[in-house]
Amino acid sequence: MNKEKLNIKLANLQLKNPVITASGTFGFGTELNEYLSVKSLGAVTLKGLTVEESKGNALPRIAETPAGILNSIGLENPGIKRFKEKIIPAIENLKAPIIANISGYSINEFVQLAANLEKEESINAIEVNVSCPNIKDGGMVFGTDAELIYKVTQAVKKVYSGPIIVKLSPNVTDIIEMAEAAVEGGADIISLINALLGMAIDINKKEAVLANTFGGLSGPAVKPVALRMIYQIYEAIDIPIIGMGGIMKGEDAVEFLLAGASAVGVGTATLRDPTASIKIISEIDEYLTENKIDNVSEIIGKAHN
Amino acid sequence: MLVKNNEKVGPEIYKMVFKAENELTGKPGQFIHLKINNASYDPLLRRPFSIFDINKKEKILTIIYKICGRGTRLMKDIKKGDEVDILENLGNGFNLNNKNKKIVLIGGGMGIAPLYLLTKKLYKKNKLMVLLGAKNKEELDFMNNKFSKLDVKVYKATIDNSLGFKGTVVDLLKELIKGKQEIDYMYGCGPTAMLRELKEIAINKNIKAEVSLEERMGCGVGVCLSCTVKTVNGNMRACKEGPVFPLKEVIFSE
Repeated sequence: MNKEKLNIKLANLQLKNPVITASGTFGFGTELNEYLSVKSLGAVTLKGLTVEESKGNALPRIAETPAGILNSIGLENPGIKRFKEKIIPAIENLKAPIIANISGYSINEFVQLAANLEKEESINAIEVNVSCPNIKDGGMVFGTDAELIYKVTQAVKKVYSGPIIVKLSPNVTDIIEMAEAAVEGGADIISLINALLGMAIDINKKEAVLANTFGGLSGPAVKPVALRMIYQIYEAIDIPIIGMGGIMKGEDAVEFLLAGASAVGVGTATLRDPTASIKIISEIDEYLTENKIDNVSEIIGKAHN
Repeated sequence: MLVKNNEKVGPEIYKMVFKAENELTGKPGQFIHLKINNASYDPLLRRPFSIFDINKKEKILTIIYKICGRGTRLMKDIKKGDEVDILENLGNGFNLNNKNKKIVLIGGGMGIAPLYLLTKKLYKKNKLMVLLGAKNKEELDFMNNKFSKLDVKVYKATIDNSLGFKGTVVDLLKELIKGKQEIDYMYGCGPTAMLRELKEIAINKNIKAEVSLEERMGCGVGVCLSCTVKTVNGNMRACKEGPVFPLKEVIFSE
């Protein structure tokens, strides 16, 4: 494998390839060590963090739907304090760029989280999650209001000097407006899509399958929606995009790159196959070789005329 | 792994036998995570099954499954000779250090499955009482036959009174304890309602116990946090810190 071929630059993040694990599907980076070599990945996005510890939602938290899954995990995480004490030391050995994902219930909480990560050398970027569909009074509330996206991004930018990724929700009428608000607030990179709000009903029990009633839909079922949104915002903004939503194989990833993503997030695929992200890297490489493309950056946005 | 056999062994109950290429190192109480279909994303997720039996010499692994949804319905069509993608040796497994103890193994329904390999590991060093429960005789026959071939005492309970004691397997346990049976240790697996009752007994009689929990899983490898179990030590992942937990530490929801 010609390694240079897959190199990509996202803001000032130098990645050896464009494949990034999506938040919430790769734990805190060390869980899948027995299945794959983390250092082969473009970057790792960690499980979402909140200021206080969160026990998450009641079970069932997951439901399978046609070519997709609904989840309502509810951001179960140890909180920023324990993260810094217990998890950061383990992350330091990972040898891949690490992106921390943060979620707040107020602008102040986003700021607190970002400020706490500012001095952590093992964290290379933060992803501001304004789009979690599974927490009340926060989460997606921020991501569906352009004014709030702008304010959160701007506030985080003041306390965090590294690259800021703003993760957008697809549960909006106009994705371009949301992306532009993030750019205006100072985002360095946009990632999308987070999960689509959905539900499943058990016809025997005559009730929602998920204890939380609604959950976030992900997997191949959402891919066309994700692609469309990335295609749309690529034409509207000038900062790099991390595209995600149902990428299961290299061909899916290539579609996202052609739509305008500079890198891709792999999430649900990892839940089906822990080594999915690694396979996708080599499948992208094969595509480039077969099509005689010297560098992956050459295909970014090529589906636009 | 290569599918050697996939056959019906009871009402909606099937046995699937795999031949492995490499050495099988799975322990009683651990589970495998099986990808039902490589070519399709529907169903998308794998399905977890506890290890029923392992023959190390022959490199044979067996699971028992019941058709209870879309995934298992598709599984019954898997044919001998098919190659199936399996993640092996998941979860922690049962404690195998007991020696010279009076032990109860109690399984309800498909919860019996992980107790078979456990029984085989324990029965030579301990005195075992195996309690098996199901709705009716047909559902219990296969397991009853398998356990009865081992040198252990097998007690049966059926809800409809078609085999053994009439009632649940926990009702049966209560009857047996009445008769001043001394028990040092219990292993259990079955529906939540059963385990909740078992916990009461274990606490009242001061018997050490561990149980294997069956939670709805996503990844099976500890990253998605779908199978979180509440314990006195905080949230634990059934797929990683479990599926076997000390019974007194598990907090069952109402």
